[in-house]
Amino acid sequence: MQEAELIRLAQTGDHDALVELLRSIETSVYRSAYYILGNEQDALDAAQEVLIRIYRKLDTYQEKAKFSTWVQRIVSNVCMDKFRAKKETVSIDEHELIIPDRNNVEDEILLTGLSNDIQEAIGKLPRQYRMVVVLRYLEDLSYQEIAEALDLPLNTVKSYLFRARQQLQELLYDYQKGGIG
Amino acid sequence: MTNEEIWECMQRDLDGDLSVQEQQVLRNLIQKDADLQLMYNRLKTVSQKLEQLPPVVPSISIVDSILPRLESAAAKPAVVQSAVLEESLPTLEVKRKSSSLAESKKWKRVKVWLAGIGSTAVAACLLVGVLFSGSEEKPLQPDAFQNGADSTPPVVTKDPVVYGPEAPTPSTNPSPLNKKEEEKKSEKAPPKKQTHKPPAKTEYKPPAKPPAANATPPNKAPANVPKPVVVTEDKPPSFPVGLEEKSDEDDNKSAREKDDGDKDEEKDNKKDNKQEERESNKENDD
Repeated sequence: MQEAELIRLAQTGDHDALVELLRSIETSVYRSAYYILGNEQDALDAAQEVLIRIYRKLDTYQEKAKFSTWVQRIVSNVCMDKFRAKKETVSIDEHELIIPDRNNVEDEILLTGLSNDIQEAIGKLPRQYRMVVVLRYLEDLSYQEIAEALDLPLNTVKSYLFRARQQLQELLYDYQKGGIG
Repeated sequence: MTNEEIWECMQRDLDGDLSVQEQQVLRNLIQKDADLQLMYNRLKTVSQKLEQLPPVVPSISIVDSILPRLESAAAKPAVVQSAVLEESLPTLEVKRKSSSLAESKKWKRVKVWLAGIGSTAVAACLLVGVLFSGSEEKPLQPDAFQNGADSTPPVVTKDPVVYGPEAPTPSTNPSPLNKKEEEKKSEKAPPKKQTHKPPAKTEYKPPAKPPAANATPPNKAPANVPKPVVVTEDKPPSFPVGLEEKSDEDDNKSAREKDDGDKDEEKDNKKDNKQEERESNKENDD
């Protein structure tokens, strides 16, 4: 059954259709939460909260936006609530002002020697950058869809994505280059 | 084209956002500049790694874990919940409001009553205190006189001792009725006697002898009254009254008697002698 049909049935009160719809988005919700939050337990909690919200507020969904975009918007909101709960208050500007210590050997080993170096680098990105990267590469959303999901201007989304890639590139290569040199 | 514009074109190319012409221009720039080529390759590698991120799968079925909660919520629709609320909330709210209002009114009344009782008690205490203080202040003045009279107790004791034996003689006279009336009057209106006392004192004091002479005629009727000076001539009082009056008189006389004590004794001796002579004359006549 197609996604649109499942949504329609679920909105009319079909419990089975609603459960099937939730199962279809379960993995993507968990994956986004996992890469945004950085650990499995928080990702599970966030995914449960997201699915419950979708279950309760599905009647408010309108077909103006893509369903995956609407779902990812809920994911980003729940993840932001998690960040606020953890009182993680590092802003983007503060993060940009940080001058990386190129003599830190441990960081070089983490970034170059491990296979999941990119995941570690993603974890070091600011929250907004992280969300944009996750939505772009894991959920394969366009700039416009990311802007709708995060409720951000299009240019801001582009800027966040470009800066995020630049920072990841610096984290993965510049540290290695400095260590060698 | 500036470096920033080249950098932006690289980013957009990674996202497939460049047109064919833009892609051609970018490739030409990258081939000419090794640094730009290095940067482009690194960004492309980062993008490829991001695209190759491992697909993360939850260890458990999240939907299955939340289904019991969702089904329980579905089993209890809003109608049931609203019914439960209607059963409990309105009655509880009404009872709480009524009880709270009644209790508040009762407490207000009790407070008003307590305040009234307290104020009356305080007022009563103040009145009693004022009355007692006023009644205590008045006797203080006579106390001062009494203290002065206390200095003359021997004179007071002397008078009754001296006149004691002579009292029975007037009792035989036909004046008991008058005495009784006077006693009643004295009991009824003691302040009048006090008002009359000063003039009596003035009569007695300066002319010590003339009053004695005036006192003798009425005392002559009883004939056995030896000391007309002692008996109050204005009002032949009863003994208790007379004693009281004497005490008052003694208060004023005491000082004078001390000065003229010898003179009084001489007068008494003269009077006694005169009476004895009269009695002897009567006996002789008989």
